[in-house]
Amino acid sequence: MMLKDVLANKQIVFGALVIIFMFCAAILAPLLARCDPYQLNLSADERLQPPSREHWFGTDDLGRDLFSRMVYGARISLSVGFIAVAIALVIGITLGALAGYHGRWVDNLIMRLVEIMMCFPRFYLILMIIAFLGPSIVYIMVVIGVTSWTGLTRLVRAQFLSLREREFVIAAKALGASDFRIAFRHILPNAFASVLVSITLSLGGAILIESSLSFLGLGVQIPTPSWGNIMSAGRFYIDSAWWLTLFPGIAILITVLSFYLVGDGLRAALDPRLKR
Amino acid sequence: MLSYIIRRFLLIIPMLIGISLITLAIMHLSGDPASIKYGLNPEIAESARQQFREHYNLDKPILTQFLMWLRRIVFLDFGNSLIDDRPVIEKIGERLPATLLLGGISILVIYIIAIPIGISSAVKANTPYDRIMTVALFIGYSTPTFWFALLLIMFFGIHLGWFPISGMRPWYVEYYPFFASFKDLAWRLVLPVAATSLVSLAGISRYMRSSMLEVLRQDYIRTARAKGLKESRVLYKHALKNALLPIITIASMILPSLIGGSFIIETIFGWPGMGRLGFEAIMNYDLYTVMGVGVISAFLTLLGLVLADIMYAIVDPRIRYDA
Repeated sequence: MMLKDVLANKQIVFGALVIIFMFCAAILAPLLARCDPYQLNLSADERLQPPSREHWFGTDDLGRDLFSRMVYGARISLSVGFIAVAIALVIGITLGALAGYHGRWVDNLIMRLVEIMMCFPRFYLILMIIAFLGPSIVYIMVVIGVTSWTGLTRLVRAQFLSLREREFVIAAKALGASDFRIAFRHILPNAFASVLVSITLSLGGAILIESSLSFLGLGVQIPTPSWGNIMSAGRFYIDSAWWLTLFPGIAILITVLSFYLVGDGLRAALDPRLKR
Repeated sequence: MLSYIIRRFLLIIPMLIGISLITLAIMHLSGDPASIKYGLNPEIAESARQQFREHYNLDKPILTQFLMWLRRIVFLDFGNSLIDDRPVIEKIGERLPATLLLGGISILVIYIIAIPIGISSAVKANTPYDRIMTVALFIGYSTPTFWFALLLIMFFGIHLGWFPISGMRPWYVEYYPFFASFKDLAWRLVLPVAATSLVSLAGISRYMRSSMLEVLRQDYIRTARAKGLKESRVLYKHALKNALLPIITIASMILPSLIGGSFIIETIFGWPGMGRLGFEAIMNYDLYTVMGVGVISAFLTLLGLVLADIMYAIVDPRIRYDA
């Protein structure tokens, strides 16, 4: 029944199809890329060529095929997004469950921590950590993950607060189930829908942050292609080679948009209050 | 109310401690600022490097550095920049007006555009107009800020040549009459403001839409219609006032993204604001400037949130923060 609601929602179906398409492109990159993304070609008639039949998206300042680089770039952007969100998920669920289930001073402490994190200049913090420790994909994933758990924590906590006095929890307690079991087997599955919405929205956000970092030169380092650092290199040719800026930007836009569409659609489809 | 405001502001203390601890710790992990500043330059003798460390207390244990920094900050002394040895507070003071100008005008533009969109979408809910607006706003929300800024520069700056693409006050403006220099500034604001505003438009107009929809379902709206009032009077006299209230607190949504965005936007447009100062400080390992910009941005965010809460309590007497 839930699945039918989801499939009836055009927004979700469209977004999911785009995401699946991007995933396939990333996985099948070696097959799709018609040229080696690292192959330089410095002859004048290969550098900064506009889109043509040979090079669908044109070539960059070092004569590399932009389409191939973007297909490989999809791997980086998507994996950074997923791992960062996975880290945020673990932190967010643990803290949220702790705060909501335990209550009292633990709740107080965690909620103060959330309030502090929410005023923290997050992007600045990420910039600083990456700049000082040296840019690497692992740091980027970890730092984005470690700074984006506040929303999830609040969400999981709210679910726990509203469910912890319900009969099925009390029954589980009476049967002698451990706290851990009650929290993760009985209460958490009820939060599944709202957590899923939050995950899809965070995925879009994480991909945006990664591309911003790469654009500023603090993300994925050349020669490894990422959508952000292709634009970073293209910035110097902005008056002549528009394709270096336009295509990677559209790729980011479409991917992020799809995640947001799916998230927003899921929220509407899974929220019983919005049903007539 | 007062105790609530004080409690909110007390949050600045753990935040201050957090920012400075994280900055110092990461700085220590990344190496010695003296060798980063002077590198392998053989002209700079070890004794000079040592002097540099001593001058900025970088030779002390990390905990001592931390306590010294905290003690000075009580007197609003953020230390001196490692690059040009000027007081950090002075450097930030020079840059802050540019950031506040850009941010303030952006907020204004965001509200002026987003609120009418939200209202009209709510009034025409579920019509083609509403759907098109929803999609357009989603696209705006998903657009990478820096990419949009580049497109603006590419199209309006270079291709059409309508707007200048970089800087805020070029030197020659000094010789302009007042009105002309004002016009120059306004012209230079257009592209950065457009780039800053796009992302936040979606959030606020969606919020406005749902707030308006909520109010339109209320009984007193039905009563107003039943009395035979004109639809425009029902909408703009009865519904709008109440629907606008929650929009005030939305500042909590814009402010962090505005301040976070300023680091990129100001760098791209060469805007002489605090965001660019922070970015440059990070790239130069300028320890005390990095910490200063971090603390001031956190403080500004917090200040904005508290102001929004206070305003909300003033306009809506049902709100009480006494709990």
